Amino acid sequence: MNRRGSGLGLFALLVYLFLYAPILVLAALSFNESRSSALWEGFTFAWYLKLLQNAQVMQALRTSLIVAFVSTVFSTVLGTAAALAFHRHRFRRGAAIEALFALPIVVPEIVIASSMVLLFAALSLRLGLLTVVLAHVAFSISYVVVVVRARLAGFDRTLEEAAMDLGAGPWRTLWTVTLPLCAPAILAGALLAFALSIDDYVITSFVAGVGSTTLPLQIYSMVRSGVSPEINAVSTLLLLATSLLLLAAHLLERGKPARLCAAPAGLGLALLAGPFLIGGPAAAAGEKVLNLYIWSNYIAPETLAKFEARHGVKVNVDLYDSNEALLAKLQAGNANYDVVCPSNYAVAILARQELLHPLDLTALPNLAHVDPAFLDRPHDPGNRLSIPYFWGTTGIAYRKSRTGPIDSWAALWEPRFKGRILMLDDARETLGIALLLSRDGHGVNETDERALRQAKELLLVQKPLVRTYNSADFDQVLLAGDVWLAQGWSGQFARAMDEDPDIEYVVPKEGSSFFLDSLAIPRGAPNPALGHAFLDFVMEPEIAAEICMTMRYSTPNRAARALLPAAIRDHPAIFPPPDVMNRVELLEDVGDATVLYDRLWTEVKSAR
Amino acid sequence: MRGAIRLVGVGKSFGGTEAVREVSLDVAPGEFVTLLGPSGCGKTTLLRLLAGFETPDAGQVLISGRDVAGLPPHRRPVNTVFQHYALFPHQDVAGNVAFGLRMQKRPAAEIRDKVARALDLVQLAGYEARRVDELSGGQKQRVALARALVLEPEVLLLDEPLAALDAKLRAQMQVELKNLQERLQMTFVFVTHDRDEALIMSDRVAVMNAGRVEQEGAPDALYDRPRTRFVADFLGVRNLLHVRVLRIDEGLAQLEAGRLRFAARDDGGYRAGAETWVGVRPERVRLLAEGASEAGAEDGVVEDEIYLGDRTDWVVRAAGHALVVAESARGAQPRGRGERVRLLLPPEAVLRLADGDGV
Ligand SMILES: Nc1ncnc2c1ncn2[C@@H]1O[C@H](COP(=O)(O)OP(=O)(O)O)[C@@H](O)[C@H]1O
Ligand SMILES: [Mg+2]
Repeated sequence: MNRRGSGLGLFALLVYLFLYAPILVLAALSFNESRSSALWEGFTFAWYLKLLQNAQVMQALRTSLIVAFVSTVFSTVLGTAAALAFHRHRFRRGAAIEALFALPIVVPEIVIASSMVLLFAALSLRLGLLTVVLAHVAFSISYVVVVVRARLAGFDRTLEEAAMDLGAGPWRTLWTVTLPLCAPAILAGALLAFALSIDDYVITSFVAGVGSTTLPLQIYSMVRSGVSPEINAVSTLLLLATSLLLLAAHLLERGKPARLCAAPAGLGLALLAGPFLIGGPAAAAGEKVLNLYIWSNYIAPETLAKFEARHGVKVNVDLYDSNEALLAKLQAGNANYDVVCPSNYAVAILARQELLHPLDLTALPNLAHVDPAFLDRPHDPGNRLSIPYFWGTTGIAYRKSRTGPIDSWAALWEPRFKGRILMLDDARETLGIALLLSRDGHGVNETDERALRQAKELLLVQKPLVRTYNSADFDQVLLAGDVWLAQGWSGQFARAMDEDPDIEYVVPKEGSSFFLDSLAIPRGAPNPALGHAFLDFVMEPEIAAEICMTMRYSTPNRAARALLPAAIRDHPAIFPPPDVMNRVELLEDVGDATVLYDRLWTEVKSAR
Repeated sequence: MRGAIRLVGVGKSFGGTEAVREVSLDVAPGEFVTLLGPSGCGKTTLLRLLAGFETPDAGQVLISGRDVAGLPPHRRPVNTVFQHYALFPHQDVAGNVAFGLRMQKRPAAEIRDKVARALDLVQLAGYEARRVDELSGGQKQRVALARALVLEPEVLLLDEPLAALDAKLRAQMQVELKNLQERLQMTFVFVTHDRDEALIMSDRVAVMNAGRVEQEGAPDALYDRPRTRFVADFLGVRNLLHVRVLRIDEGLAQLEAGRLRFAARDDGGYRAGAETWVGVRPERVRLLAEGASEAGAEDGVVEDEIYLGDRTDWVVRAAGHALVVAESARGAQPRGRGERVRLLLPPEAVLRLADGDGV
């Protein structure tokens, strides 16, 4: 090899490294005994075993694979047919029509996503597996067309003429010559379609409905409570399976004998088929179903199993990762859920838009067990639309060996912690504490523009000290030791404290906000009676205690609290003492000021 | 009539270009006919009209006595050997040869048998399982031939099948192909732009120019008596002269081209006072030593020498014309540039030609 050749070789190697390093790290971490990504504590298969037992992840994987297979088959067939049509016939304005086919590739995904939601709503199609498959077919067709078309453009037409000359009619020419010669491109297009479908988040999150939580949706909603090694494990398996399929495709393309290609193809397919073999309880025909749309890590499968057993029904769980996703889904009006879990301000928005089903309080006797402090709040006077489910405070968690005791939000402005501070990536929460720190006594629900501008200035002063804005896995960043102080929510910090005794949680003396997530029944729910039964079920003291035990979020259920073990009942992060409760304020819907909050927050984040 | 072809006034244009104009041609069963002409003269288009890949704008195409208008390629009793072979890259040699038989849904045993025989015919026995991209140019050529022959078509169309081969292999294939055709008694329509190839192989040659067949005939007749300036030029009549007929006497036409005067055997086509084109083959011009006193000889000066191995072409300037004279290697004497010579145009060597497109 000459010098120039070896230089290029090195360059190629670096490019590959750049491309694949993250994947290799991910694969390696899936075997790491430690939950935190910072430390290597030894090799383990534990996460893979845990993965197999995680019914929700397995269900999401199954859904993803079904969607990917079906949409790949359809988009490949349709895309190939379209490419062939362009190849065979020269259309008038053919170039323009072809360009239209490539459009979905360049149009922002979010535009496609929202237009599809509108289309499905206009067709009054229920959001669900069907709409997800339709959407995936629609966006993958373009890729298949482009890939197959590229192959056909370089196609030697005399080969088709030779076939006709030898007695093959148009169809047999297609089957015996054109398609076999395009097979590598068709296969490449199919693989691309499959990969796109397996990967897609944005469009899927818009058009998904009952029973169509795909793996990316599941992962996104799980990330809210930290990237877990289980996710690494499932990604690694998926990667391995697709690599094997790609290898098989490559061998096929090189004209290797089918025997040789069968091994990787078979192995890849077997890996993908795994989740189906392990199986899961599918709803039997005619069985009653409760469709639950909720944040991940908000209810344990065991708890759901109890409800299923008691009522002889099946509970279908779909996940989301932001109130905005929930709002979009319910506003589209064709989602089909029986119970949803909006935060308090989202309840207010949904109430204004009359998207919630009025509750029949006589069917909810267990409401009596709920602490009145959480009832009859401004977002839902008289609890006519929602019941409280979980709550939590916003505070500072800190590594006490590094920082010493902390009791004020002002600590987050101290220069000696430069580069060791994490703030939530959230307009309401960050501007909220800046408002609390101002001397004029503003609260976290302030709507006055001048006060908000001053709060923004305060955040700009703080910005050079902040290492990162993060509201997904802030607890993990703190556990990993990258920051010493983190603003965040109590539930996740409670779990972090269990893992690392050096971590302390405080609701600062200036006061803070707290959130309240509620359960509600959407207007048009297929089974509101069963929805009521579910709401009443989770307010049973034993059940509420179990949910709090398993999920570590604070329960508003007074009777349940009495049933909890002391370690949790007196946990300072989960159940703060009364003086703390006196200085926290519920985040309310700020109406028109929401836009101002968002704009100021964008200004903070984009400032240099 | 099996294997006969009749073209009647066939025309085909693409947009503005008339690729084929008013072509009429008859081919007898078992005949080897060659379409000869420079690139772009419409040979391939004519072949594609026969194969059914193009539909004529005008005229009639009859194959084996049947009008094939509206008959798609896969229903025509012809097969084609394509210019660049067009072998199927996703199939091996046997798969390529068996393709047509499979389309006819013949029994497997018969297919195997016929494929073996066809490969035998083109001397590729034992190559059944080879991938086509592992074959040399000559071998590909043979596979393409076997693939078409195995169907025993009434007519075989060959579009410059030897153009991509090197000179030696090409000469060898020319002979093989001709022998094969004679053995099979199959009608061949062969396309080439190579004059020698056409003359060696064909029973009859049709010379094409700008979409027309300008002249057709047996190779020797064509060679001896080209009728137009274009055909003469294409067949190697290098000395083309525009002449005026001075007078006609005693069976000789006295001609004048500028200062050059010479006579031609009158074939009845000359008219005193008229102008016309004539041609003389270089090998028919005689070169004499300076001072030779042959009647009608002209003085000239050697301007250039082109050595071609078996013969030498001299460019001689005489009476203001640069004429090419060929001498066979044996007869040639050493001559230098600037040497004075005399040259003689024998009357029987002078060919009267119609002008270019005029016919
Ligand atoms: N499909 C076509 N579209 C437009 N012009 C064509 C097409 N096929 C042939 N021609 C034109 O017709 C003329 C004859 O072409 P062709 O039959 O291929 O000539 P040859 O085979 O003698 O080289 C050329 O001028 C060529 O450019
Ligand atoms: Mg041609």
